[in-house]
Formats: sequence, structure tokens, C-alpha cells
Amino acid sequence: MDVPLNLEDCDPRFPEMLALEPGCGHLWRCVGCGTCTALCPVSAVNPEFSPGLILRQVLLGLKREVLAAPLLWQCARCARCSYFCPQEVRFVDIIQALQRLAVEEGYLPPEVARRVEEAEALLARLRQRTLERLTAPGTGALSPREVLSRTLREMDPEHEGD
Amino acid sequence: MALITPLTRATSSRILVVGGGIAGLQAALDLAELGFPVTLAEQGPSVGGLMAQLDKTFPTHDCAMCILSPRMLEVARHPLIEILTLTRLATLTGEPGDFIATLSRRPRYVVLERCSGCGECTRVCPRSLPDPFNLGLSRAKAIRVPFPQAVPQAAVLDPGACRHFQGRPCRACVEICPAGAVDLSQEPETLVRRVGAVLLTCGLAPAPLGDFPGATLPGVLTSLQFERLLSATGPTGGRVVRPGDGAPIRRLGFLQCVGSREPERGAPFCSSHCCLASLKEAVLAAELGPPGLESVIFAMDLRAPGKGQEAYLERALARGVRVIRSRAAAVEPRPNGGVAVLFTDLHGRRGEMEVDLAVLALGQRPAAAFPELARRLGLPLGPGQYSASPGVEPWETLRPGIWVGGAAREPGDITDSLLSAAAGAQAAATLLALAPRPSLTPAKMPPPAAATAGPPRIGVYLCHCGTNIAKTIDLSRLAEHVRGLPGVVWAADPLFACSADATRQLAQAIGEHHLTRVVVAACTPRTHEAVFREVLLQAGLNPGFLCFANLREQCAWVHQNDPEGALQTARDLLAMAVRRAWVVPPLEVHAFPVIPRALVIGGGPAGLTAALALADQGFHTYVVEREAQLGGMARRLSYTLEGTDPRRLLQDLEAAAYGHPNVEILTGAQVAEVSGQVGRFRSRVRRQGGREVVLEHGVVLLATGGREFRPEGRFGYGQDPRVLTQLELEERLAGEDPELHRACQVVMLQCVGSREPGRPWCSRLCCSHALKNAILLKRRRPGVEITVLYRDLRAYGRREVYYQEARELGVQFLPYDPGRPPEVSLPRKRPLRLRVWSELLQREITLTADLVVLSAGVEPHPGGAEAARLVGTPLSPEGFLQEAHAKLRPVETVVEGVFLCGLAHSPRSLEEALTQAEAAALKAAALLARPAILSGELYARVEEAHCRRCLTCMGVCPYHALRLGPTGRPQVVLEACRGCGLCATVCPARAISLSRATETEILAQITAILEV
Repeated sequence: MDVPLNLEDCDPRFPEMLALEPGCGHLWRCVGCGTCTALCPVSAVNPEFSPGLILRQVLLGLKREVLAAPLLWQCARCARCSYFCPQEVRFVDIIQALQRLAVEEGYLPPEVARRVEEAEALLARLRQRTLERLTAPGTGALSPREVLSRTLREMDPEHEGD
Repeated sequence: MALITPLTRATSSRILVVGGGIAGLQAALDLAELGFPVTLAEQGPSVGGLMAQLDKTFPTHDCAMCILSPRMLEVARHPLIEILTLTRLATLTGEPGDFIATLSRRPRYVVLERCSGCGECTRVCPRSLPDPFNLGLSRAKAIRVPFPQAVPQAAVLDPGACRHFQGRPCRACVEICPAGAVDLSQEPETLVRRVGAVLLTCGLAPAPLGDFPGATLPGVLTSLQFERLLSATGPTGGRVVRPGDGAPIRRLGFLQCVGSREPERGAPFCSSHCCLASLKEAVLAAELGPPGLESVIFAMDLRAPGKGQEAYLERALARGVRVIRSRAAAVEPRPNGGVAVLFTDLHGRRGEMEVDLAVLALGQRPAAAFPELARRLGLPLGPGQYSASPGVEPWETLRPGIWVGGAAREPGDITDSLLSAAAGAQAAATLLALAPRPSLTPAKMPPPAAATAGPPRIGVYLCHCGTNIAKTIDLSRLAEHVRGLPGVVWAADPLFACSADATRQLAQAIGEHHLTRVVVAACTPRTHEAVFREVLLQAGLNPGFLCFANLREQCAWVHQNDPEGALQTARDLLAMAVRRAWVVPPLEVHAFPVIPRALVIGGGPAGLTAALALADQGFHTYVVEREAQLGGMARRLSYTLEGTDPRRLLQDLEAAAYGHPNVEILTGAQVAEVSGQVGRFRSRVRRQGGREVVLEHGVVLLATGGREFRPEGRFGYGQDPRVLTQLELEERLAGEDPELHRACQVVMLQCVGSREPGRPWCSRLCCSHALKNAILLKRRRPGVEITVLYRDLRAYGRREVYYQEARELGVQFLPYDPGRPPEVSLPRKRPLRLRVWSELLQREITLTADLVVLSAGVEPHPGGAEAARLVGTPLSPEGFLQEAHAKLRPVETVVEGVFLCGLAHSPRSLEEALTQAEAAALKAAALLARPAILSGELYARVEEAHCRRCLTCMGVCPYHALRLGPTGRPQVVLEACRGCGLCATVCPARAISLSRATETEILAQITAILEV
């Protein structure tokens, strides 16, 4: 980005506001060490997603940039970041608070947020069933990809029934 | 400030030092030099501590063992020091000056007095276990000498591993021991000592690995294991290969902060030493490893804040060591046996780097014994189980008469440990200054040289050293040969020449056979020359008439597979030693009187502390201060990070100094000339108004201080009043300046006048200073926005806690790249504007500020260079005073009798300056307490008749031990001469020779070997 970032245009109250959300109290402790990003399974797949970078942006008060970013919805909520953070910063709580704020403040329509939640639930079920199938005896020589797409196909009507 | 008053009634002057690592060893030596008897209790089987396991030390690359082991031996030899190994302090009752210490000693199962450390028991022991000395990287036996240079040099049996103690019928070691030293029936003992004071130097332990992901993979070592791997005495003999599969190492990863800077895991502090240790290990690995070996250090901040450390970092980077600014979060296995390090790059993206070996730079904790001991003694502990001291002096404890030193108060490196232990020792010495000390046996005067008329009568003692020498060299054949050498009238070959029995026989032989020279062919003179010199002395022979031949290390061990060749070499070595014995000169030691007074140059907190310490020990001390007022740079301080009041401290120091009968203060005065030498200096001091006084004193302490760099013209300093330095901000904070209340946005800029061309050193204090001022501002007005622009935040040791506090208070920390420094613009009527490049966000950030605070570096006071010139001691490349050895002699200079402390040495905090001042006072006191200064046995002599007055020698002498005499020829100042021999080698007229190792001796040996 070539445009200089003017800290005057940032919202210094943004981190203060966020710190009041449940589990976000240690936000200020972040020392920018990068442990969260290094261990994040989502970052391993999508290098654009960086918990450490999001935290820095929050601390600098880059409210709009953070809340409007689609990346905000990529977190898998595995909480590795929070378990290993040497400063007790709970990113898993912080990102969920950020997601709430994004909806509350109109950065993401509530309808979309609901669909994201649905997709998360679907993914969780898909994961569970795929792994069940792969580890069941007599699965044969099906590749994981095939198992996955079969499971998804079979889940379709079930999903409609929910 | 707690001033210690010497006890008028102390029953015992004995000082108990708990812990025999480098800090305890040095403190014991210093105290013994002052005449205090010392009991050194070490819980392990040897003294030496953790330093014994290090390969080379930072930053000098000295072999750690080579600089440690002479101190271990010196302690072992000192008549006032008692070493108790395998011993812990159980209880302490009574009061300062009259404690009863109960010590419990575990059985060694080896009788110390009999064991010579020959190693036979180890050879036959059937039981092996992972070697604790090599941290499990090699195997060791259940009975063994802990490491080759162990003191005491004796075996120890590990009952946890020994077959006998597991109920199996094994007595192999008992049966083989030629000295009958193994005793399996030993029981634990309780020893009682009456002591006046206690110094706890329990040392440190590496932090636990915790749950670091991947820590137990085969491609991962801890930093201490890696030290063993680098060491020539380590498991691979110093070859840098991966343990286990022996794979070559092309890339090494050093993972910093494992067990440090983790409040979550009970380590809210920085361990201080690890960044430097990894830098050193990376450089050493590049020297020892295959060409092209690459090292990558993963560190959040590379902390090199001490003297010379930044320069080392620069050198390491220039040699290709890479630093990646991230905490490495985990290691994952890779199929080739290496590992991948997971980290986050500068742009905030997840990164992976494959390395052949990952080194976890483990932080430090107090040794496990310390918290437990502290609880038994009723001493409170602070965060991380470190000692909590009540005041500004970190060596203090809540219990009078007990001090802590070394790594028990705060993480630090070897030098920090030495200094704090010395400060604790100094406090103990002050407390017991009036206690009766054992009357020192008068300085040992060598007896008059035995009549040298007629040919010498030489006796030769050939040691079997158990089987160490005898199994390779046929000593009966050697003895036969030796008896035929010219001058030899007696020869014998005892099993252990150093045993009590054998030394008695040697003394008898000297009398019976009228021996005038003795040759001992045994192990190394480094450990045993002193033993045999003592024998000669007792038999009435000058100890200089002893000549040593090292048959063990220099012959038997290296030629184990060639007994015939070994015998031939042994004959050569003995021919040389015998021929040298013909011409070897006697030992002559000269004694010089000491003026028991001190001169301290500089009246800041360091100078005043040192002066009071010396005065309390009874030495009259002059303090010369060039300003009209005492206090130096500390006068500008109003707060400390820890919350103590520096103004109060300074007031107390001044009041104590002015009120002390032994302190004489000369303000508005400058030293104009220093002449004389150690023990007898004479200084001309010019006072205001031109009056001069002449002072005579035995030692000089340089405490000339430092000052804040004035960044004139930098970032608008001097042009706009809204740009100021940290000290100026502190002064305004203290003055409740109303201007400050209008400031809503403050930007602090680090490393102004530090770590840059022309001023390359790190000023150490500025990061802490910024934290201190930011916290003060935030506490007063939480609404003020503070941004700190920094390069590496060097909040070492406990300062890390304040770094965290500042962040929690909402202070923003933004790193900047020195290649793209921030720019400040100074609009007249609007707030100041700064532009800075953020590598993380990949864009420029602009900030507005009502105040820009420059963290200006620290520079030496120009008075330091003047004083250095007067006493003839060198300056460091940065212009600070140069200490004698960066690691182990931090308060001495190369000029005997001249010491240094405080900012004159390097930038340091108030607390650190006081610590160093106490340490300097201890060293100075040891010198002043001597009845006389003895010259070394080795010194230069000028043959006046041959001297051509070229004075080349005076230019090369590093110790200023050559002075121009009345005839215009150089004269040797014997008290200052260290016998290095530089002058002798440069003298074109060969007019200078050494008192020993003379040309005659060397030529005699060469002739002998050519004749054989």
C-alpha cells in the first residue's frame, strides 16, 4: 500500500473498546512475537491470514481495515494461538469479539454472518464424517478427495432437512 | 540506602560462601585475600559450576575452562579457604557475627586425602550411565572424576547408578584402587562451622523445556548441550555434527527466549545472557563447522546492551550470522533428521525454515537449591523464585548478615554474577571489618639460596601416577637411564609422587642426599608444581630449584600406543629437565610497603559508594571531584524504574561521606599528575584557586562517570523546544512542569546517538529510561498517547516486567528499520509530525506529537580519558575506560593498583554502578590490607651496562612497569611487572632478561635434547 497511514485518522479508542469484551483483557500485552501466526493452521494454508498482524492493526486503531476484512472470518477457532501465547493474549476470544463488532457496526450484513456460521457447522460435520469414513474398516482404495466429495453429496439432503 | 556498620563484637570472622561456581570462587578468593577465613560449601562433587561446561566465553572467546581452572586451583591452594564438596547448608542459627551453620555432607564413597584421580576405578567400573557433565550426549561410569579439571581432583561414586548400592556383588573399584581410597561404607556427615556472615552464590540452572513443541526431537539440542558439542572435551571432540546420526550441519537455527519473556509460564523476565550466548555459539560453529555453515537466530529483540556487545553483534552479522525478528514458536520433524522452525516473518506472515540442528536458547532460573535454601533461611523470594531485596542494593536480603550474589537475584551473565557476588562479599567484609582475623603467617620468604658452590646434586622423582604414566612408560628403565645423567645423585619412582607418604620421602631424600636441585617428572606443573615447591621449602631448599617434566599429558597420554617411542620421549624430557636444573635460578620475591590509603577520582554515586566501602574497612580515602558539588550525572535523576528514590540515595551517600572520619572530600579539584606505582602512588591535585595538594595512596579508583549525549541538530533538537531528551523529560516530570499537562501525544525515539556510525555502542540505559518515563507519564495522565519508536527493545533482566507494564498501560511500541529512520517535521503552530516506515504493514505511518523525546545515548565524561592518561591505562575503542579482562576482571585495569567502576566503564544503571563500585572497593581493599606487596616470581631485569637507551622497551610494556631511571636508562618497577617478557624480546641489545625462563635455561634444554 502506497498511501501513508496517518495515525491521526485511526481510532485510538478501538483497542480500549475491544479490551472490554470478554476474554480480550490481555490485548495490550501483545509484544508482536508472532507465536500465534507461526502456529496457526489457517495461516499455514492461507498466508494472508495472520493473527499477529490483526492484533497489531487492532492496537494501532485500524478499526475499519480490521473489521471490513473478509480474512476476519477465516479463523478456525482451534485456539492454538491462545494456548501457546507467552503473554496470555487470547486471540481466539479477540477474533470472535471482532466478528461480533463487524456485524454490529455494519461491516458484514447479519445475513452473511449467519450463513458463515452455517458453513462452519457444515464444515465441522463434513470433517467428522469424512474422517469417520476414512478410518472405518473396508473403506477400500478411495482417495481422501473422493471420500470427501461422496460425504458431501450424501450430506446434502440431510442438510436440507435440518 | 542501607549503610553497613562494622560489628564491634563479632565472634567469628569466618565467612560461609554457599555455592562454588565462578561467582562463589571469586568471592571466596577476594575475601581470603582480605584475610577472612572462608568455608566454601558446594553441593556438587567439584567446584566450578556451570561455567565448567561452557566451551568458550563471550565476547573474548577465551576457553572457559582455561580461565576458570586457575581460579579453582587457587581456591584449593589458599590457606584460608576450606572447600567442602557434596555439602549443603542445612540450618543457620544465631546472629550476624556469630552464626552457627550446620552443614550436611553427602558421602563421596572415596577418601579425598587418598584419591589422586588416576582413573583406575572408572576403567574397571562395569556400570555406565548418561554423562551429566555432557548433558547426556555421552556415557560415563558410576564412579568417575566429574570432569578432567575437577577440583578436588578426585573420583566420586554415584550410588544411584552403582551396582553395589543396588545389592549386586560388585567391588571392582575397591579392589583395583592402588591408593585404597574407595570406601563404600561412608555415611552422610554433619559439620558445624561458626561463621560471622553468609554469602549465597547458588548459581543458576537452565530453564525447564516446558511444553515447547518439538523440544524432544533428535534434531534439537539445548544451548548448554550445544556448548558441550562445541567443546574439544565434549562428546564429539568438538566436531559440529548432529548427535545421534552424525549428519553434517549446514544450517543451524537458534531459538531465543525458550523459558524467558513468558509471564504465562512463570518467566516474566528476560534471561539476559541467551542472545549473546547464541551469537557466540553461531560464530564458533562457523569457525569449527564445515565451510559455509549458516546460522540463523530467531529473536524478538536481539539484546546486546553491555560493553562491547553491540560490536560483537555487528561482527557476527558481518560474518553472515542472520537474525530473524520473531519468536520461533515450534519445531517440526523433517524426514532427513533435521527440523523445520516455525516463525512469523517481518511482514507478519507465517514462515518455515528447515535447519539441520535447532538449538533452544534456554533461559535461566535460580539453581534449584536456592529457593529451598531461601525458605529454610527465611528469605523472601520474588517473581521467578529470585531473591527479593528490600532496597536498592540487589545483594541485600531481609536477614542481616546474609547476602546473595551471582544469579540469585536477577538473570545475568558471568560478569554480572561476579560483580554482584563481589558486592555481597564486600558487604560481608564491611560487617566483619573489626572481627579478629587469624594472624596471617608472615609473607613466605624463600630461604637463602642453598650454596651453589660445586656441581649441583640433583634428585629425580618419577611418578607412576597410578597406571597413568607407568602403563605406557617403563619407569624402571627410565630411572636407570636417569641415574646416568650428569649431576643426578638420586632417583626414585613412587606410585603417586604427590601422596602424603611420597612427599615425605622426597623431603627426607633432600636431607639425606644433600640434594641441591629436584626434578619431578609427573603430571602438569599447573596443578602440582605448588605441591612440590612446598616440599622443597620445608626441606630448606629454595623452591625455585624445582624443575618439572610433564610425563603424563605430554608423553604417556599422547603416546599410549607406542611404549618404546614414549620411553624415548620421556628420556628427552628428563634430559632437558635435568640440564635445566643445573642452571635454574632460585626464586626471589621482593616485598614493597603499601600506603593504606585510596584515591577515588569522581564523586558520583559510584565513587562515593566505593569510597565509603573502603572507609568502612578502615582505609583513609580521598575523593576528588571536579565539580563544586558531588553527585555527577545522578544529580539529574529523580526516579528509577524500580521505584527507589535516587535523590534520597544521593543525599544519604553525600551525608555519609561527609560524616565519615575516613573520607576526605576535595570538590572543585582535579588530579593533575599521578606518579609512583601500586602501593605507593603520589598524586598532585589542583584545587580551585590554583592551590595544590599532594596525596599519597596505595590504590586509585577511577569513577569518572558519563553524561547524556546532546543530540544537537538531530530530529529538531535545539531548534524546537518540543524536542527534548529523556533526561530533560525526567527533569520536567520531577519539576511538575505545567507544559507537560498540555501534551496529549508523545513520541519517544530510541537509539539517538547509539548504534550508529561514529557512536556504535548500545547505551544500555535508554530503553529502560523510555519505559520509566512512559510509565510515569501514563500513570499521571492515562489519556496521554505514547508511541515508542525502537530498533530492539533491550529491556534485559527484570526490566522486561516494566516493558510489559508499559504495554498494559497502553504505550504503543513500533519498530523502525535503521536503514529508514523516522523523519520529524517541525511546523511552527501545529503539532510536530513524524513519518516512519513500518515493515510489518509495508507502508509509511505518520504520527503527530506534542513532544518528541529523544533517547539520547550515554557517553563517557571527558575526565575519564584524562585520568586514564595520568595513570597510563588504556581506553576502549568507544572511549570508555578499558578493564583488564571483559569477563573475569571487570573492575581492574591493566595497571596494577588502578581500578574502575560506574559509567566510566560503560553505560549502566544506578544499581549496576553501585554493584560495580562495591566490587572495585573489595579488590582495592584486598590490596591495601596486605602487609606488603610482593613482586611476582617472574619479572624483567635490565642489564644497565648493555642498555643503549633506545627505550623501545618502554613503548611496548602494557603494564607501565618500565620507568626512566636516573641514568636515563629504563628501570623495572617490580610491583607492576607481570613478567610477560615483551620487553626482553624487543630489546635490540638483549639487555633485558627475565628472572626465570632465562635464555641460559632454554639453551641448556636445547643443548640437552640435541645431545641425546
